[in-house]
Amino acid sequence: MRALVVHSHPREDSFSAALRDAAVRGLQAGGHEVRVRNLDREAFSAAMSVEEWRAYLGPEPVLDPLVASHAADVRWAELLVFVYPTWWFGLPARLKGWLDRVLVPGVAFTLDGQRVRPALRQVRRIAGVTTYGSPRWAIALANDAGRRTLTRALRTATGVRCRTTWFALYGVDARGPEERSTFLRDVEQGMARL
Amino acid sequence: MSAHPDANSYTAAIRDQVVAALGARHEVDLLDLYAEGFVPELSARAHELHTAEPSTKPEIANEVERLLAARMLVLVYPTWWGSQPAILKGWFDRIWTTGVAYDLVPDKALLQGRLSNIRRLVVVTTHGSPKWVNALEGEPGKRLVLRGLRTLCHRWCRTKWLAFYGLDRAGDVERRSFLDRVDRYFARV
Repeated sequence: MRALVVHSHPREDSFSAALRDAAVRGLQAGGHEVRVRNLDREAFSAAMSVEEWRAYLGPEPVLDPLVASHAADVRWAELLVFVYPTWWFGLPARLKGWLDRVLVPGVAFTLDGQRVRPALRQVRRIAGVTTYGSPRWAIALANDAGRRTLTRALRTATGVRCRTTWFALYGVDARGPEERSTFLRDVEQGMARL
Repeated sequence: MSAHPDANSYTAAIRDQVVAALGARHEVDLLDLYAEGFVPELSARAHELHTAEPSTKPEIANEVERLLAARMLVLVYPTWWGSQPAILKGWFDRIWTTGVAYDLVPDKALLQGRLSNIRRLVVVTTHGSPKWVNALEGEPGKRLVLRGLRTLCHRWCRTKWLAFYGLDRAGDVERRSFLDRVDRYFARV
């Protein structure tokens, strides 16, 4: 499959970056064609601008060349992989901004009167790889808001037949090197099997 | 607080209604994230300092001071993809830090809330789609605030969720009616 990996973390020396690299290795081992986008390295702007807001329902909602480049990758992909730390039960601002600014009409869906029709039906699977500071029970209390946001947004674009796979590590700050290594290995092997 | 890029938006009208209704009896500090040029992205340096003393982060001192001065926190924003716009999410990411919003409990992956100054947490938000669609999708943004952030506020912090659904199809009558509802709530709070 054509796999797009979208990574959101400010630091290259982070566990998140290591997870991204493990995911990419796994995807390549699985024979997938891989493109990787690093929102922080690219200085992807999180906040939708007033111009983008006003253009949203018009003939050309994509104004920024960087957003256009992301839109092209999303339309190319059959597998979307998100690697990110869960902050405040949700997505880092940049990744939320990617949903807000890239998954726009004409790219992710079309508006037929009031009806929303998916435009990314070629995406067959979404995978998430995330770490949480909180333990699992606390995440459940907030109903895993980050995962729901991603799957909600993507299902609107891909249609409901798209499958999802999640790799999660809870209470990450209290996890030692062995547990982290195990999770890295699980992600790499899991990606190879997708 | 408000988070919308367009000064002519319905969100802006809601914000103005909230400020007017509160202003009669309360001291109101309005933080319009777009108008004040708030930067939502957490930098590498800020991430390194995330658990360090607040004094190591002078660049957020103003927003921190404003958060700590509040007894009521009102968030006015459009719900996009089931949760807060990225600029508002960035306010949580960058300002709700160690020593400000919480302390880390040693040896446990748990947070001890520090925002006991906040005794009322109110959200006023709009959704493009109807209520049943949002219910089906679990309203992640609502859980994030009411189940997540609220735990860091005063133990008896009261919450209120004022939501307008189906904005995409709504006419002037519905919009006016919601503004009246917002006015009634904040005039009595």
